[in-house]
Amino acid sequence: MTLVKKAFNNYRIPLLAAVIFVVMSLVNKNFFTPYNIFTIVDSISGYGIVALGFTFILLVGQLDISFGSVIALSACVFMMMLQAQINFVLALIAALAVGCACGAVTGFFVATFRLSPFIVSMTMQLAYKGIALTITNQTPVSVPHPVLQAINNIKLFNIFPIVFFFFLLLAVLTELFLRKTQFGRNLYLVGGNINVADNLGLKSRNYLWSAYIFQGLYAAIGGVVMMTRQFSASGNLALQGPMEVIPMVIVGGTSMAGGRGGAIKTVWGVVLLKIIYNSMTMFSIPAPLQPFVKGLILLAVIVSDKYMERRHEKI
Amino acid sequence: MNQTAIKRPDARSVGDWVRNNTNLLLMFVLIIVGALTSQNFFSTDNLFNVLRRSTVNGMLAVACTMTLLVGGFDLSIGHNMALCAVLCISMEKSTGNAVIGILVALCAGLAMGLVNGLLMKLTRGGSGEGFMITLATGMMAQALAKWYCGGSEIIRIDVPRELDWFKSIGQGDVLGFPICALIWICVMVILQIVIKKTTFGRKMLLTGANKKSAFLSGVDVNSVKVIAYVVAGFCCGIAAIIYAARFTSASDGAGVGGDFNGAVCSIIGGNALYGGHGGMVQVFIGTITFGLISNILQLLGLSTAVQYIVQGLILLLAINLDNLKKR
Repeated sequence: MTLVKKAFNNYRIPLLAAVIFVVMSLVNKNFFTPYNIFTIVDSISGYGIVALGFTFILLVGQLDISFGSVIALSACVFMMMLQAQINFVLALIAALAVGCACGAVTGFFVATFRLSPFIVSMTMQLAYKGIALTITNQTPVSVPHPVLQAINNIKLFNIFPIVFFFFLLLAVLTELFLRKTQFGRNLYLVGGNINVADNLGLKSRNYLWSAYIFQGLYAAIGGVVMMTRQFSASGNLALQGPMEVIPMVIVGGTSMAGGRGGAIKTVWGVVLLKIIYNSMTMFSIPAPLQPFVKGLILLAVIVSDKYMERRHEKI
Repeated sequence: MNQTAIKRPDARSVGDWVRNNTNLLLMFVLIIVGALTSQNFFSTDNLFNVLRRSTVNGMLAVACTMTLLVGGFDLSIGHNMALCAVLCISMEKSTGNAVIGILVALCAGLAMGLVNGLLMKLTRGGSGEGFMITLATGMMAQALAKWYCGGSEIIRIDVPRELDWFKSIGQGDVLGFPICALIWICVMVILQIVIKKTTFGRKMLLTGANKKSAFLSGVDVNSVKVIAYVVAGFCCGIAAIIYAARFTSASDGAGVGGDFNGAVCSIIGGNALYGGHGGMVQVFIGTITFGLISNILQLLGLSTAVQYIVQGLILLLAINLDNLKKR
């Protein structure tokens, strides 16, 4: 019995995802079809990778809203360099560098001046979006580059796009990095209690800063991965990014207070939410109401989590 | 002991004053910059225009400040306003009676505030929980507004003659002074008196500063929080009415960015993000500063994209200056 309880506590999100998947397959005959599975899997990679990056931020107990604009900016830089006939690898490196730089700037203000991460990332979001719009002259940049199309066309069993495996690989690597390296363990410590980390002699500021740089890097990778699907970038790309990504990470089980969570948990959060979103479409819930259900899920997760944790406290 | 080494908190040197009033100074600097950049800046038209444009943001900043003061956070204010505005306009369209529209908007705002407040009470939440909860309720409010609109903007085609007074809430003026700004200032004065002079206001500040000690000294922390959120929701309702009266149209996208503007207006005015001190004077300074930045950028004739960058950088500077206080 305790085993069942333990399994339920530790694996409730994957279990829930599996249950919904099975039930939907039985209820709706359009759900378990190759095309629909492809639709789900295909939509996971882009925001999923960004969600992995956001896991770093939540692990150190911070917040970042600017990554939507970082996605847009790095994707714009990437596509503009491709448009200018620059080597693919060079463009990729430049895009990732831009992402890191954006993360570094946001992180610098948060970590060094200890400003509120929310306000800093909000203002930086404005600035990054402005830069992206300025360099693209407020018009979308579309380049059907052969390499991007080749990546888009590789599919395993005609269902699983190659970027999905890239996402899984990245998730496993991130998890290993977080769990098995000293740097990763220290990130958990800094998130759990920054004063203890300070007293132990860790340079907490550098860890906070590095979390933002990782976030920028992952946002840039996410932006490039999105380009393998839509071949077009604009300054207004991923405007809803934070709204999409934050619920995924929270639902996955990474604590917003910091110090608890992990990359694999985030993967399950992404998968669960994507299955739920797909099911909503299957049940033909009107499109305007779908964000309502998204909000409801996020609310249910946060409130139930915090209520169970604190119901005996008076304040 | 060396007397001079003890740093008195009430030291009245110029440096301390500057450090404590960076927000005010930034506002004056912006006014001077504005006067230098354009000859039209000091015309009453332009100044009243700044005031008129700032009111919706200002009301949202008031709402945000109420939740900040008790140590919470509200990201749903923008979408809450959009929902109220959509309901207000559609009620007026269907009944032809502006009073019903106003009442519905205020009630919807109150209800949203109550929901937020009760959820905060349930989770015993602080700033972090407030952020996540209101992110979710904001998403839900926007979805409701969108669903109610049917995906399209609700546009009021003709304003009946007897509803002209409703339009004048947003567009009219008394002796040249915009009515909407008058409403905004009245709300701020009332709330400032409540915060500084009543027991409830002191309780709010105490809750925001340290909820444990507030609880131990007999303050019903959770109720104070709920009431603060309800007041915030009510302010969103007022903001929605002003918005509806100014544009005589509303859409589900009306509140996009409103939460950000509200929070930024409140913070750059000098309110503490984690509660405990602040008030409506700061909201006024912050809102005017924010309004002046966009006004000057527009007078300079920059493109929207460049405006985003400059705005972001000035706001970052403002936050950094504000941070000097804490050192």
